[in-house]
Amino acid sequence: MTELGGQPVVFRAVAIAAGLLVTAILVAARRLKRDVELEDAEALLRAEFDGDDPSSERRP
Amino acid sequence: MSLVDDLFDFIGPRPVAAEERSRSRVLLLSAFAALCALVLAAVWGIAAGSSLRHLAIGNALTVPVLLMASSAAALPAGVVVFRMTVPGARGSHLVLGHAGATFGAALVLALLAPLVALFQYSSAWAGPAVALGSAVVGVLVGVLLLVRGLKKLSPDLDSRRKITAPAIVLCVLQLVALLQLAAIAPHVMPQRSVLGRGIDALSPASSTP
Repeated sequence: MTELGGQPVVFRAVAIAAGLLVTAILVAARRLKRDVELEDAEALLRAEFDGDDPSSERRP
Repeated sequence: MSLVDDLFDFIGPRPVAAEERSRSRVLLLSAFAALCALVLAAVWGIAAGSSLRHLAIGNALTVPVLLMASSAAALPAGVVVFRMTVPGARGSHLVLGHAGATFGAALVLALLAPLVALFQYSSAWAGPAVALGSAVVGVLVGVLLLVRGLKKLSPDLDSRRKITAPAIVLCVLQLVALLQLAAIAPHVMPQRSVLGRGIDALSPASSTP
């Protein structure tokens, strides 16, 4: 197997791919967090508008 | 409720109202579980290589890479089988089941890490056995949590029966990928173990790469 700096090249490629994947997950998580916050705010507004208890609407 | 509470609720025995969760919330929880699992796996990696400093530092990267790459290899096929076998299945549910199980397994590894570090540091004979034993316990816990998580996310009894196929596909693919990736990865322990030799360990004239 080809060696590069003491590590197999294949594993180095796998490590880079995994790093990119983790970065993608981090970016996606930030966007998802924003989406969830928007959903929560929307649920809160809807509950207030309907005159229900917001906490019970938000988390049954 | 925080993501940590949500995650422990999901891997715990309490039933969860999965169908009331939005897709964004399910995927956010999955991403959080996966990222936490990587950190916890790094802790176990450091413990497993604690007999040699350079090994411990390398393992902080190697073990999370093994976990991430094997998950990436197994999850797409698992999602396809899940969608094809379980009626009304949502791919995000399998992703959450898998991420929760991975988190649980990595948590077990991290909790056993002090014991692994102690044995690796003090005994060349028992150290690798304890480290391998902890890895096997982690895998078993992961499989059990995957089954429990998928059962929780299934709305009816029929779906619960049908999760067997995707669960088996996911577990087998991830284990096979993990074992073979371990064979091309740098040593996690001072000596390469049977589990670190990949498919070559099965051949009569097994050779270390």
